[in-house]
Amino acid sequence: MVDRMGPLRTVMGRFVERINDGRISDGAVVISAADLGVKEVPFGLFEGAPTAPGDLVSVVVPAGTRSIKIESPSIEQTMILAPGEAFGEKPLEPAQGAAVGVDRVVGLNDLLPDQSWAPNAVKIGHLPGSGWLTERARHEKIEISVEKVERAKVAPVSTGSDAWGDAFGDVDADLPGRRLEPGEAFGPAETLVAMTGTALLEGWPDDGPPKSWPKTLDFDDAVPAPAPMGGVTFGVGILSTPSASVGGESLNPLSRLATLDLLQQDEARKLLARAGITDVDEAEWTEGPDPISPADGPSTVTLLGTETEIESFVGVVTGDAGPWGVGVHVVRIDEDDHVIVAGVHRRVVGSAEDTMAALRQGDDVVEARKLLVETVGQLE
Amino acid sequence: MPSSRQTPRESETAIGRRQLIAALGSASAIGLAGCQELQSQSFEAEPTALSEESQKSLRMGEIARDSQTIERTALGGSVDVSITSHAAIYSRAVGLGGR
Repeated sequence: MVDRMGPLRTVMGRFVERINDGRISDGAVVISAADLGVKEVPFGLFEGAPTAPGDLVSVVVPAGTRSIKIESPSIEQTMILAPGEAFGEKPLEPAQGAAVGVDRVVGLNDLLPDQSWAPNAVKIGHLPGSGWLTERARHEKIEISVEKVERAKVAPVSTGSDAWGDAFGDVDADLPGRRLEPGEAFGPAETLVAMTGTALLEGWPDDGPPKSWPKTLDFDDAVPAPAPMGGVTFGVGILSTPSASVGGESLNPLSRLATLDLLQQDEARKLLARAGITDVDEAEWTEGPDPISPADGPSTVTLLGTETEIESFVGVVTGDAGPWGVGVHVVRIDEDDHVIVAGVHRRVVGSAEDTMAALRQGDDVVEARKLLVETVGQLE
Repeated sequence: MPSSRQTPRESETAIGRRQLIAALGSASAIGLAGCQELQSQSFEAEPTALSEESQKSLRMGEIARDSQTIERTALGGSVDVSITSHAAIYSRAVGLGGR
């Protein structure tokens, strides 16, 4: 049995796995609370129940979620993140006697996965991606940075009543971090607050959500961003076919097809589905595939001794609970055999956004190409 | 399945298994030209895959390795051809210890 690694050693990775019914490969999305119609979020975890502006609060939801009623049990299937700076400049003091209070402190490295996909890429330390923050937070240069151990952001969390038990079993034994110390407070610049939807529900300062909140958080109109979880949706499919020819008649139609046409063939769509481009048996394109040429990252790779270019495409395919925005990165050689290697990844897309533009601009494309290069380099 | 992938230098001088089968097949077709019996040829690709060690270093887990053989005819139906391809599928989620 493989040891659980990377994102599955972090609090967020294990939480996403649980809320996806045990499937880490579906990933998750990050949505600004403001995009869900929430102007401010009260945090009963802290003395005075400070509120954070909705456009600085991130809501992490499982990939298949389309809407959540505020008062329903499904709200617990979210994780809420807020940078300390969202609460102003005063230290954050855990509330005494709160229904669901801060009781644990987790290091940032243990809370969030490293953002890199390629395990052998040159990097310094474990660095969670800024994609966990909202667009406004990034615009205001609020950072998730781990430059020195003593300055690392820490995450006061509330393990609550049952939110963590399902994912972590014995909280004290299995959850990273340490118990809160008496009288401990947190400076905003060094803090990233994490709480589950359960903690939000059970910690309303006024026994209920603010009157300004909608009854339902409808994700369909929001703009979801893929949660940066180190490539958990990535898969690779490799097809080796002989360059069969009899009397000059070529019997291998795949080798004659341009890659864009190849991706729409039945055999290729089944291979892509098996590699994880969708969660159903066959990939049906509803948009694209459109070719893209990222300016960053690698553009060629050596496959079985032959240098060849990486061809990348983005598009939308059908899925079980809704469509997936996908990237496909293809490398091919035509020597003794015709070998096709396709790396795929996917993310939830919202109906309100320009999906294809979002897919072209996302960091996932460059990360996927880097991981594909490392993978191709080790094929034999 | 152990890999028998040729290096670029070896492939310049050696006759691969796939090429030998094709050469014999062509010779047979020429020698028996006019013969009423159907001829047959087989083509099979070399599997391409990640070793277990590579899977661990890449944090990729194998979820499938399989082969598929299709039967076709060539030269106006006078030659039966079988074509065997190999596929391998790997998942990052499985490589991390999940699914």
